[in-house]
Amino acid sequence: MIVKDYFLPESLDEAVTLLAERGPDLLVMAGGTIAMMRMNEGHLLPDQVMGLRRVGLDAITINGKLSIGATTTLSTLANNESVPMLSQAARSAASWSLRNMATVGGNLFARNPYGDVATALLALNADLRVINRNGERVLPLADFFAANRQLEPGELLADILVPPPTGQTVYHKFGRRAYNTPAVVTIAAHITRDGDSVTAASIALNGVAATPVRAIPAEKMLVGQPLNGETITAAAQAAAETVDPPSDAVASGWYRQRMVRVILERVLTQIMEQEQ
Amino acid sequence: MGVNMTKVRGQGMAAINYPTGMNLGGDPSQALIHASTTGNFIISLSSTDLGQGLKTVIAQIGAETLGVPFDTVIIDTADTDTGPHCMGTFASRATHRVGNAVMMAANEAKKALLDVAADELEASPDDLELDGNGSIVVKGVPDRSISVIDTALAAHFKHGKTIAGRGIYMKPKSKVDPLTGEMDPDSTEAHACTVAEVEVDTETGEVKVLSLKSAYEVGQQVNPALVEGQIVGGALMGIGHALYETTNPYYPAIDHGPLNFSDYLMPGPAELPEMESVVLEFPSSNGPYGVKGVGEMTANCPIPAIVNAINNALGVRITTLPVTPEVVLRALEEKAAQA
Amino acid sequence: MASKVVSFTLNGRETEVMVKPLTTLQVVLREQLGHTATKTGCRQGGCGSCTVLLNGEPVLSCLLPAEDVAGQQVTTLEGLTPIDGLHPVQRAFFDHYAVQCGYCSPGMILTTKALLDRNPTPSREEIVEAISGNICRCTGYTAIIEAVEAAAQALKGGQNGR
Ligand SMILES: Cc1cc2nc3c(=O)[nH]c(=O)nc-3n(C[C@H](O)[C@H](O)[C@H](O)COP(=O)(O)OP(=O)(O)OC[C@H]3O[C@@H](n4cnc5c(N)ncnc54)[C@H](O)[C@@H]3O)c2cc1C
Ligand code: FES
Ligand code: FES
Repeated sequence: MIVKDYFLPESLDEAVTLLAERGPDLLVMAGGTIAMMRMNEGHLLPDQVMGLRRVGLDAITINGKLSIGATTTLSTLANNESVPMLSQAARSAASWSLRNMATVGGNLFARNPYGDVATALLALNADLRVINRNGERVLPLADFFAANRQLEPGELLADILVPPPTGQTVYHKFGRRAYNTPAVVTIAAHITRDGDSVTAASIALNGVAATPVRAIPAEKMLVGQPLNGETITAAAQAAAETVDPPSDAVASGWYRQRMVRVILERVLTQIMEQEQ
Repeated sequence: MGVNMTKVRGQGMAAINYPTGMNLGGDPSQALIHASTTGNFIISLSSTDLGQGLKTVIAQIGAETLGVPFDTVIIDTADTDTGPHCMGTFASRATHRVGNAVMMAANEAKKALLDVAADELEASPDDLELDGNGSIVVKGVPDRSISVIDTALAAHFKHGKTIAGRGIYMKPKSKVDPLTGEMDPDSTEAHACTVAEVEVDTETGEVKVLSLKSAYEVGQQVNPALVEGQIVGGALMGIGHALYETTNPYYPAIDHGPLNFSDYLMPGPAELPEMESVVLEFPSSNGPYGVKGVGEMTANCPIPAIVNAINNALGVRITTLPVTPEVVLRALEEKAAQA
Repeated sequence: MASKVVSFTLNGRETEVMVKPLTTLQVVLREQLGHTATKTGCRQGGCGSCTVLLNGEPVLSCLLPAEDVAGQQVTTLEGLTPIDGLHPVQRAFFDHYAVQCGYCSPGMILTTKALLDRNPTPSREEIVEAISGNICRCTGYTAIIEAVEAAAQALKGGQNGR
């Protein structure tokens, strides 16, 4: 690995300035669990790298919305119980030592079927605060994924903003091992009910496409309906029918498609059985 | 739909004979032993310890044959270029082959040691014995003795002699009888039987190994703790082969192969079943102190036992490895289609 | 390609090294400082054999640029091992035959040390979860889990590690 320059800016200002000056050739790296691995392997050979460990984006604050600094480690999020689905998602990722390095921001860039926290964030309708030398903008996470994770040149991801959940949440990472496992499929669901009837449904699936995606047809089928065996089966079936998952070393597309149905059925059943 | 309704259990069994060594074009291992000035014995080998404990059992065998304390035996497996020849650590052959070579070398070195001690004690070598604690004594006369250290010092600095020995064990190539196919490929055989219990989720196809209960017949155990280590470690490898591990998940399409340690699936510590094993000892006729090999076999017996348990649970006949959840679901679909 | 001087505390000692840009802590430890207890298994974050403690927390030195640890505390197995014997966690691994080839052992032992510092009485499940990033190909984990349990007992009994 031959890198000409490695920068460790001490502030966000310094980081966006460096990025503006150096342009897209400057590789941005947070926890490095994706970037360093690819460099060690020789799949990524940048001339210049910028590490974000010292820019001070590693805090979680609550101010109406939950704001998670982009370089917050998965361990820090796992130990923060303010949104249980998020701490659970963080705990489900990789191993202890890796979670001590990997960041929440970096998790949004993880290739399928990784991106456990990203999946939970998508179900929670998170927004991204993105910053460049001249200012900032807020971008829905769903749009970021729809645009294949492209930020504008010169932009850094600063924080992730999470509105407080209004309903019930269930997160289920289905992998081949109990711990430290890549996912077959991951499902995060956020369902709001009024009495018997579902008033809002947000279901995120991972392992089924290049990025985490929402199960829109299933969500639409549930809104206005009660949660029962019938509606759950129909929604799970609809979710499975609308995905065409890829095959990789963990599972085939054939198997993943079936598991979307089975696991979503289990997730929704769990929500049905929970107290509201 | 109740989640528990989808879980079914089954039991399966498998038994194996496992050869110690294999039929090569003559299969030798050699050993050299010499005493240092201070009476330690260095056993030089080019046999490799991969972690299974070869150095420990070879030191035990060497110490036992020499009649000296275990901690005065030093195993040097430093260099396959310069050490005495060994075919290698495979086919569960090392303890058997190398152990036999070391016994032969140790007997020669012991004779050289006793010759020097006999001079020092003014006794006949035939009247001497080693007490296992670092001394050579005249049989029946415990106060007439000399330490191994003093003997080694005397050999080096007074007599100008080496205390050394050479050993080889070679299994000759066995020719196949062209008419009957009869041959003698291995040196001895160990045996194992495993009963596996599994739980299969018929909705997801996941298999959980609940227990592995095994009986192993491995000849004389030189070191029971190391035998146990092989059995437990091998069992998890067996689960890996049975349920997880492959570099070609959807053969013949090879573009899904695992490219790194996180994508290559192996069972982890959470996937351990309850495990119980008993070890029976029927010494072999040709192994050092009656040993047989107990290496590779420990990964083998669990595999068919687990697959048989899955077949028993589901009423199907799966014959490919690994039995991934997808393989289970496809077998169930085929069964449903035939019904 | 300007090399930089990086100072950090290694096993309680102030240490200074000169590194090329993005050299990993793993390479610095093994190749510059001769601290070879830290292993190089995969360099992909997937095996745990390169685990070291950074301010007491397990991290993977193969993915960590040495410059990132400037001013911080790094502990390797060399630092855990007292001059005249074994740390109680090492002793437990030794006594329970939790080592075969030994490639996973430094990472396992440091992870165990970090676990027991936080949670002196871990359940079996907590042990399994903690070591799930440290792959052992040899032992089948049983002996390792038993060793961690024994180390917890020993440390509770007052044989304090550092
Ligand atoms: C062995 C192993 C196991 C894993 N297991 C899991 C798992 O179970 N679940 C899971 O979800 N993931 C897993 N991962 C993937 C990865 O570790 C995580 O997704 C992690 O959260 C990535 O974060 P990072 O900070 O380390 O990424 P980095 O490597 O630092 O970043 C990767 C890329 O993201 C971009 N980026 C990161 N932060 C920013 C920012 N603030 N602004 C702009 N761009 C940015 C950059 O382009 C950068 O190159 C695993 C990885 C490994 C090596
Ligand atoms: S070498 Fe660092 S995790 Fe394998
Ligand atoms: S002892 Fe060999 S990898 Fe654990």
